[in-house]
Amino acid sequence: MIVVENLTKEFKSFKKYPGFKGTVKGLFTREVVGKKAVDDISFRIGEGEIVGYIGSNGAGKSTTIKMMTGILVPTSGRCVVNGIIPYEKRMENAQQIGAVFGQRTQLWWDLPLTETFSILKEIYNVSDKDFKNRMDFLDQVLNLSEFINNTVRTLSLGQRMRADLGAALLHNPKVLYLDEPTIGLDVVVKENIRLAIKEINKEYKTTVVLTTHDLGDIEELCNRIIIIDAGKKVYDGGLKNIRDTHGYMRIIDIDVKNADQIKDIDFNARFNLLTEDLKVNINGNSISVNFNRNRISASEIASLVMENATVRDMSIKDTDINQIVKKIYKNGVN
Amino acid sequence: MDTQKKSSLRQKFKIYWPFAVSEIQGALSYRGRFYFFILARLFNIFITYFLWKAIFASSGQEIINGFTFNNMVGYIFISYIAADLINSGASRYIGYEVVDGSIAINLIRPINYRIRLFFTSLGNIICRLIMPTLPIWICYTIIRYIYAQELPPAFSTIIQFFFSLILSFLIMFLFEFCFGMLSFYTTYIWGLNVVKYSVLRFFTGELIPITFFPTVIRKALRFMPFSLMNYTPVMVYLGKISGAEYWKSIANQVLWVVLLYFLGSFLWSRAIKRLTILGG
Amino acid sequence: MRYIRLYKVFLLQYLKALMQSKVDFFVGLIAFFFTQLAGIVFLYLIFEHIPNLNGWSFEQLLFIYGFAQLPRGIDHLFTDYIWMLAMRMVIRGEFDKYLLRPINPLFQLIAERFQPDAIGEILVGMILVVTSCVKMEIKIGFFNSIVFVVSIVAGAIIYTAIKLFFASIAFWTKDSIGLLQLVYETADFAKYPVSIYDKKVRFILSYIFPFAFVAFYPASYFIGKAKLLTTVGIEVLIAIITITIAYATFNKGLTIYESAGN
Ligand SMILES: Nc1ncnc2c1ncn2[C@@H]1O[C@H](COP(=O)(O)OP(=O)(O)OP(=O)(O)O)[C@@H](O)[C@H]1O
Ligand SMILES: [Mg+2]
Repeated sequence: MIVVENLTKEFKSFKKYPGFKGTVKGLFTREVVGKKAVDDISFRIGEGEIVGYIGSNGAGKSTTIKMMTGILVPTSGRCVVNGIIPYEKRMENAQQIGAVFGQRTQLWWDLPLTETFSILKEIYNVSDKDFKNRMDFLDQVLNLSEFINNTVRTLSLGQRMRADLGAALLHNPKVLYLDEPTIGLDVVVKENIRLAIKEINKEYKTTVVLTTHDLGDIEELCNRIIIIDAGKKVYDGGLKNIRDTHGYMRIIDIDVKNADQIKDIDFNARFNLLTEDLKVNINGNSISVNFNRNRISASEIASLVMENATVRDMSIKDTDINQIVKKIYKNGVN
Repeated sequence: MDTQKKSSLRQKFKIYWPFAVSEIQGALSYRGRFYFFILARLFNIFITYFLWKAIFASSGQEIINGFTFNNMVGYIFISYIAADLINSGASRYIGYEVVDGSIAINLIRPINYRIRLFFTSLGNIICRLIMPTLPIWICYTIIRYIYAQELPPAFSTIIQFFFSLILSFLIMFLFEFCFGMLSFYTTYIWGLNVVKYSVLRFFTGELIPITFFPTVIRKALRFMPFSLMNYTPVMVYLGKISGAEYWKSIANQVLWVVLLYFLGSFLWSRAIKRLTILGG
Repeated sequence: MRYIRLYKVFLLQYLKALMQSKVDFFVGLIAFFFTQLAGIVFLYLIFEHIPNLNGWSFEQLLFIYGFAQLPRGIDHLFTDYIWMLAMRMVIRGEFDKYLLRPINPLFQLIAERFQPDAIGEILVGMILVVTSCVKMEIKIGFFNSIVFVVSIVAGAIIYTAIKLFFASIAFWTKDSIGLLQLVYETADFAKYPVSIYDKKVRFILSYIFPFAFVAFYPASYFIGKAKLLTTVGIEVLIAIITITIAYATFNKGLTIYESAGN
């Protein structure tokens, strides 16, 4: 369905100088800096797949999606979606895809939501019969009727996101691109949206490409993930595999009054663990410990610290997706 | 007592000056627009210049309404320059801030809104003074010297001009502030601004010297602040207002500054009441 | 066909919204009315002192002035949103949405807004043209009314083309509002007979930013001071050339559009 080959996008920008003097200087000079946002990425996605496309902030996810949707023209390489090169045949491509950019709505800001749908009906040439069927289906999975008569401007974020998703699906696209569709949503709405995506994928065999920073989205929806970092692909494969190998890492952050004593302790020797399973970073009076929860518990680490210093504050974090990405990038799994 | 007052003034200046600075920085970062803005202004001046040239050629007279052609060219350039330095568009700021709701934030801050706005306007004007006004003025003066052997006015006249110009700026600012209060009552301040702009261009004498108006209108204008906003300083620059008449004009300008100041305070308190009742 | 239907849908939406704020509409209308009025009063005051301007009578000037408003107003009425392309669509990446729909992006851009304020402009133009025609006793026959319409449409296209071309520069420079404003400002030159300008200005107005062909030359044809082919004829030619160049530039711009970081 989607073929991406050696896709690369380089942005050129003008250097900005800081401060007031900088602004004045900027009046007279220009310095171009190039930046590869997407660097030689290739993959293939089959029909009906749901693929999670993940990476840290600025990794190049949105840029890739923009090339696949036809918004951006790649600097080199190419991509083909259902036999069409999106950035060359934009309108043909647009007819067969749907896209939601979580950060930005594509709805008509000043119109009631119903009107948006009737305009989209015209734009995508949806027949009356199809329109009715689709609206019934969308209403059923997204509960649009709750707010369908409200002006888009007045919708809450969750309602707007559901509306945007509905708008992207009205013409029954073959491919659905979702760029952070659950950003800023509460647990219930998130769940709703995930269910809707699943439902659509099952019902219509819609191919879905999804970027997100919420591991939950990925866990529930995707059986395959592609990870990129700094524009390069670093992992492409099953989700199960990656969770088994990396999902067990946790971080404990401890702030102490005086970390001098802690600095002298060799944590790895004390617990008899390799740095792979236990890694300590001390920065001033903050201690950050990366540990494998299958090998050692948080309380063991905490109590060792408490014996040697006065603890001010402490928190335990799940390894989020970015950590996994970073780890994979460093270790080069795959 | 006196020193105390002085230091509090300096303190006030410290609080409000950053508003001017940020305005300057903002304007400078749009450098592209900047150069074009100058050119666009020049274009406008040139249209008017050619128009007057044709008018004088067609009239068969040396002097029209007390203006020689050279006088008129001076009038065109200086009134354009003055207009740039006088009008900072404060009412538009108020409009934006009312529409996007940020006016409420300004009310929470321990800051006088009008003074803040004044400094924003000041920053704006300083920018324009550096670019494009001063360069245009210098070019104008040089070119006039080369082509018409015309010297710039005496230094004392320029000082008098600037003094009057500053008062014009104050009048305009205070007027704009009053006008901006309309934004609290209508959402379509943009359209009203366009109307105001064209009316002002006329009655301030930016487009055509006020002596060209029919007597009735000229008389009516005497009771309004408009001619004091542009016509007065320009005529001072051209040496057509001087001596006792100059001081009379200045007194007139000061009077309007005071009047508009109090009118603004009154309107502002009304608008705020309305804002707090309606909940912004 | 589909596009006409779509435009109707957009227009209807727009009018609905407009009806909810009639006051705004009237203020806008009056605003444009006033802007135009200033220029006319200026001419009126001047003609107190001169019998004619470079051989043009007051009525003739009014005709040119009014005639200049018509294509400008029509362009304004329909394609005002192109300004947004120059101003912020590229910087903010707002253009994305147009590239995601199976409709011509330029059409979407234009259909985004309908600017009824421009009706004020058109009204002033109409009034001036009609009254000055009556005063000058110009009779516009069947043939010339067709020429009239053609000329105004061609003029509006030239306006749109120039606007589109300079707005499209924003794809390269991110924002081109200053440049566009500058060029638009030159259109004001064309409200007066070009014969009052010196050679250089006349050349610019005729062949670089051909605003003289939008107003002055066709108007002088109707007044009976010039021939059809060298005025309206060239105008139509220029309309075709400029719109082609502008549209090509716009399309080229789409390929280098960079969107925004988020
Ligand atoms: N229009 C643009 N112009 C210049 N640089 C850009 C542009 N768009 C993106 N970039 C740069 O390209 C890189 C990748 O951006 P992209 O938006 O694709 O990241 P992302 O993976 O979507 O990140 P996030 O998770 O924060 O959304 C970033 O460094 C960004 O600064
Ligand atoms: Mg992104």
